[in-house]
Amino acid sequence: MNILKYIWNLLGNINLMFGLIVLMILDLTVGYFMLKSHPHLFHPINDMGFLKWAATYGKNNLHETAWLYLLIFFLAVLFVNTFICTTQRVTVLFRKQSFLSHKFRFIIKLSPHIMHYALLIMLLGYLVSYLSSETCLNNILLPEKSIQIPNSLCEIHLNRLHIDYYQGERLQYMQDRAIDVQADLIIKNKEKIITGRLGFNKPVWFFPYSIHLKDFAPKSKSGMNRRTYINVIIKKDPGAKYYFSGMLLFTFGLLLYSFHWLMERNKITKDSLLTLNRTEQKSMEN
Amino acid sequence: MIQHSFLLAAFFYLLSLGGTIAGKKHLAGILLILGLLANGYSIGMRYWLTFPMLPLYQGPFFLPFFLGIFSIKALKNDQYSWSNTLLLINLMAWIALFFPNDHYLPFIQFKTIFSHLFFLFGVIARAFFILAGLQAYQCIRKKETDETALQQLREVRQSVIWGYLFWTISVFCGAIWSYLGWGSPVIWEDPAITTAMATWLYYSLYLHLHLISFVNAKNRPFFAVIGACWVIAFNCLPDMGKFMLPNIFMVKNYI
Amino acid sequence: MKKINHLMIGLIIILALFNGCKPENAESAKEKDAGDFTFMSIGSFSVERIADNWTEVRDGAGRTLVLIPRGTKAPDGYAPNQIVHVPVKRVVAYGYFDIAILKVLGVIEDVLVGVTAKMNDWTVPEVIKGIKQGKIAYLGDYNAIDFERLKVQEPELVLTWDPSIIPMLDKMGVPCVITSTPVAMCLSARMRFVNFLAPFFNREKEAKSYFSRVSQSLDQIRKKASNADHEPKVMWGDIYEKRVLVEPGNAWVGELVGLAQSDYMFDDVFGKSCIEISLERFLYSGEDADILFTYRTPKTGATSKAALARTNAMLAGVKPLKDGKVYSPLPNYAQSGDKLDEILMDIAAILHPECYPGHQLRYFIELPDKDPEKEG
Repeated sequence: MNILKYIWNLLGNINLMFGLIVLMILDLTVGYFMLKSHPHLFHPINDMGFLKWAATYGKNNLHETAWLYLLIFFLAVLFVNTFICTTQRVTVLFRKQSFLSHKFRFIIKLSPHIMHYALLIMLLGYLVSYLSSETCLNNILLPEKSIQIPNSLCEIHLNRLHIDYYQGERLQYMQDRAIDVQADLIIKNKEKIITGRLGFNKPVWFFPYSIHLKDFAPKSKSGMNRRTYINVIIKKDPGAKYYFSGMLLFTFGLLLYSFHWLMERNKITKDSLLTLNRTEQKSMEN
Repeated sequence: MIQHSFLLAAFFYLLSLGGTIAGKKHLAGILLILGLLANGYSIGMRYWLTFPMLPLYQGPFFLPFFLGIFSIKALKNDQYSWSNTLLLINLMAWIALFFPNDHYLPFIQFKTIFSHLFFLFGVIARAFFILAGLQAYQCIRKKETDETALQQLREVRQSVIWGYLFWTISVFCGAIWSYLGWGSPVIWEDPAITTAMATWLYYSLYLHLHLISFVNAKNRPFFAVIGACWVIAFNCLPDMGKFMLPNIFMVKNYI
Repeated sequence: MKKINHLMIGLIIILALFNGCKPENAESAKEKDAGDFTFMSIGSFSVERIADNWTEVRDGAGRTLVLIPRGTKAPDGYAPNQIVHVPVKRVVAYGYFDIAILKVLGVIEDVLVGVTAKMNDWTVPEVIKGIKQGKIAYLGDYNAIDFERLKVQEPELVLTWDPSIIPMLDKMGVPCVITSTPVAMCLSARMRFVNFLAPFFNREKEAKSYFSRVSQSLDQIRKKASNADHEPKVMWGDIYEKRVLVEPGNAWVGELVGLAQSDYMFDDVFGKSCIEISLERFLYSGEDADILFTYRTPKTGATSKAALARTNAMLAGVKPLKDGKVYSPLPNYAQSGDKLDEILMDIAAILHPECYPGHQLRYFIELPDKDPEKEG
């Protein structure tokens, strides 16, 4: 039990967090240069998923990809560290029952911990996403034609494609070029049928899939005469709800924290400031 | 018009710095405001000529504007602090002028509010982080009394918190944009993603420094200065391009 | 404070170590030449040898195909349109470079059954002969393919840059490889693309020989360029009616210019081939450039500097058109991917003529100031 407690305290040590973050920053710096000089080695992660990528591109280009493996290791340790550290402090917070009587103050005190737990949810979401999501790139849809979603009974039909070509004067470089794309889709399986309008940054959802517009043609009225089509990404990502809820929770916690530090703290008098920062004062005197 | 108005802004910033050094603080303030107006016009025109899309690498032209806006409050500070602030604004503006990277055309995938929020909040955050570094530097340079030092430290922390808030929301908006456009919150293509993560981690660490036993209040300003240097090196400089002399400086145009 | 100093020093050392990271270039590509490999990445393409009878490839658009020997059963988990039986015996190809690589692999006469350019547009003797004999069919323009004609040719594989034909080919049960990439091919990928196509025809030996030939050519260029006494400034692009297109710095031409001790004016531009940039940037670079490589051929208006200037008045202001040199690709340039070593030599000779005395250009032509006066 003592050993367990020792390991628990070690893994939850705030100084470990310090070292981890410094190492991660150094690792990400290396990653910056690697990604800049070898982007083609990392691009396949976007659709392959991490496991397949690691077995192919990752394994065979270790000099360029090692930093990513290290990053994942550091993130895993940070996950454990954050969980233990935050749980220890939250436990202490709940034990101090005096806080419960000042509910707003209690929530403010809880805000950093909300952020920490939200971060853990986000990391879990990314883990689920990179291990189990399915991405199908380059699904070409022609007007009035259908395609089958791979490994499913779902069918996508492109009912109508409308491309708006810019005719104004303000955006001179866009003259006669596509400025808006709207693709009317009908998606169906044995149980249901839905219609949706697909556009850039306006995906269509058909649980558990999301359909995103990647490319289209023709992009301009003049120039190369291209066949009309759209290119869609079909994605099945079970991690999406986790990392987005994590982001939402983190933002909530951050707003509370910022409000406390930026608004409330300004109201504290000089004496209160000295009282609260007693530790800091002592170290400066030394 | 865009380039000329930005050049005008840079000149006003330079004159404002000159005014501060000459001890004419009032005049320096007016020149700064004129510079901000010209800068605002320049970036407004950039937006007007591309909206609802957004070209790449526009950050360097927006940064001096936001840095100037957030520094106005510091006008009441002493001449030394104020001239440091103006020096930094000038540096940012003139580097942006001579090392532009705005030759890419905007593309249709930028048509979403999230891309604009990602960009704008990112620039605002950088301005706050750089400002925090500057305030921390001034903190280190001066040997003030404990109370004033604490007050200055609090200002540094405030700037960092504002920066952290905007940076986090910028990163999240970027993730939402990436998901809507490409189906994933993280697209492994642009190396800037690594430095964005690193910056976020760095300032997360900064906000925990008061809990670290071996980091005392005296050392914290150094972390803010290092952070500002990092932000300039890895979040600002990659947006810059090759050296390009603005047309107005080319002698052959006048021969 | 001491700990912070140690941290700073460590950071600086690590950054210094990794600052030497260079993009994958032809030199490092040499070390990763085809041979006994299980996985090879070639720019946006990749080849993974999973087993003796099972190779998985990834094309330029990130689509996965599996190559299995004829007569063997396909492994589970692949759709019918992903399965390619090798060696492939009947190929339809869109791109000139793809067809040139078929020639490198020694299979062009045997496998090519369909093209998207008319006979008069070809300079490749094997293709002209094939069309005359009726073995190779002209399938129509890229945007108006005669799919009935294509069906008649019974292709086992289509090499194309146009993803819009994938649904039709899926219906016909013909696998398709997208040979274009979202980002311009670097020099290494350009040289090693042959290694991507080789497994389709079991011609790895020929691929190795080609790569070796091109590598040697690059070594020669590097060696000769080291003796050059100046660094010419080079542009590669053109201005069309409303668009300015250039080759980005990450493209093979941009890398080659840098390798040949020259200054590529768009080396900071990153993206796909024929990337569009602002007119201001093109004109700014044009003020200092010594050499311009245009996309236009003599057939499409590049007959002289004056003719080019007439196509667009803005182009007239760039320095190469005023007192520099302008080069246009000859019709055989695009179709001579099998002679990549010679093309690289031609470009090097243009950049440093002093290093290649007596060299005759075969793939480019220097544009005269004016069009020759018509006789009579």
